[in-house]
Amino acid sequence: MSEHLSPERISLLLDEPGSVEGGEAHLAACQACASEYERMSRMRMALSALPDLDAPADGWRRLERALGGEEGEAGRAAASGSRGRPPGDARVHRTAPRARVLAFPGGVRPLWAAAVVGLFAAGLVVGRSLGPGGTGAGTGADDGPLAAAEEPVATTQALADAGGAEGYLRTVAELEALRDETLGPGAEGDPARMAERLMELDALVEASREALRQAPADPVLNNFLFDVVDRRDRMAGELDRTLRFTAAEY
Amino acid sequence: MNEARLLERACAGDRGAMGELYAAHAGRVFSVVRRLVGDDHAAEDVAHDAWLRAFDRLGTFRGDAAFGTWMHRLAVNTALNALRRSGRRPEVEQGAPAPAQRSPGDGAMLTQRVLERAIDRLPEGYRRVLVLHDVEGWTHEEIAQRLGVTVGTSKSQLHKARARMRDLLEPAGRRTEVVELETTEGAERHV
Repeated sequence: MSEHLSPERISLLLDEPGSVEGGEAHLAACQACASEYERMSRMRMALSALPDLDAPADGWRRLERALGGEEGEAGRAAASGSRGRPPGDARVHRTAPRARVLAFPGGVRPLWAAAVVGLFAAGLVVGRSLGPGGTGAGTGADDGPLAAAEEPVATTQALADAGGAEGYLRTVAELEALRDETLGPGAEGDPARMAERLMELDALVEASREALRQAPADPVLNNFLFDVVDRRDRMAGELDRTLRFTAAEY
Repeated sequence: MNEARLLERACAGDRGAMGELYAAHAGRVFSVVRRLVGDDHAAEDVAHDAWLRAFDRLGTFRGDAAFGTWMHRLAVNTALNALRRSGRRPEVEQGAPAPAQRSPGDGAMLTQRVLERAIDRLPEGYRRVLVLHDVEGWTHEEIAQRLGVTVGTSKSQLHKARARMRDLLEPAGRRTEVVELETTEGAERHV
């Protein structure tokens, strides 16, 4: 029977190394606990890097009504600012438009795998370099970086045009959707599809590594890399098992 | 226009200056309030109240800290007071029953949406400490002072909150037996 550290102890070790007697020694000897320690560490890092939510779209108007008086120019700007969204959308504003991802032409998958490298490295760094408080104009945002991904050369400029933190968040959301698609239904038991998705995950891994070289401390990029490496390794394992199973059948 | 000038104008009742202050800090304020109260509609009301209080008290803002820092503190206080008034049991020590649903699956990406959902599902007592410490960067001493608990309780709540978060993010099927190793710092740390 294996013995493990409780999650509370692991959390304590994260904040205060040496505070759990025998804790570090156990982590060195137990892969499961070391892995849990790593995951909790990632979670802590991701929590500290959570971006701001969008304030309610009508927040300022409501406030003005409560304050009374005329609405000023800046007040109107606040009411119609890019950060304002319907309250119900506050929790999901980074969600990618799934339909657009699924509508991505199947025939350009190899192109996409190459394009996404440029997209990821350029788009995230462009957005990140402008900082979380960046205020891009948002023009051309409806076309989005995914549409531009078919043409890697144009991607950097398209993202720069889309601009700022909004572009950054949108790019992250799009890439998360793409990444999720690589593990979506339809590939199970089909070695060709699995190999294709493995290539896409490889492209995402390389892209995120390239982006990290330019922004090593970016927590979103770090999380993304951890995740896609994990997914790629699992996909490779699944493909390997599928191929072995297929070979054994014959 | 710099912030000092904006504040001066806002203090004088300039609605445009108030709007600019709001536009600059509304996202930050709403974020901390929303995460603390765990509900969209309640968060809108609490953030609204916080801003009304801020504009009402703008004359008392002495400029010792940045306006954003002052506003943030005011928003946290408004949210915590609202939680206290709401009468919901904070579930400080024992935690809440495990949620009926778990999401997402093994190996899920720690996206903002995933994390926010998990935070929402924490018991209130856990959520307050986790948000203030891990998201907002408060120290245990600051949390303890604000919540009127001991530092040890704040730490204990945080570790339990993280454990619950991990369980929400990724169900723990790996543990066949948990061994409670002795700590070097006594019982207070591990309530």
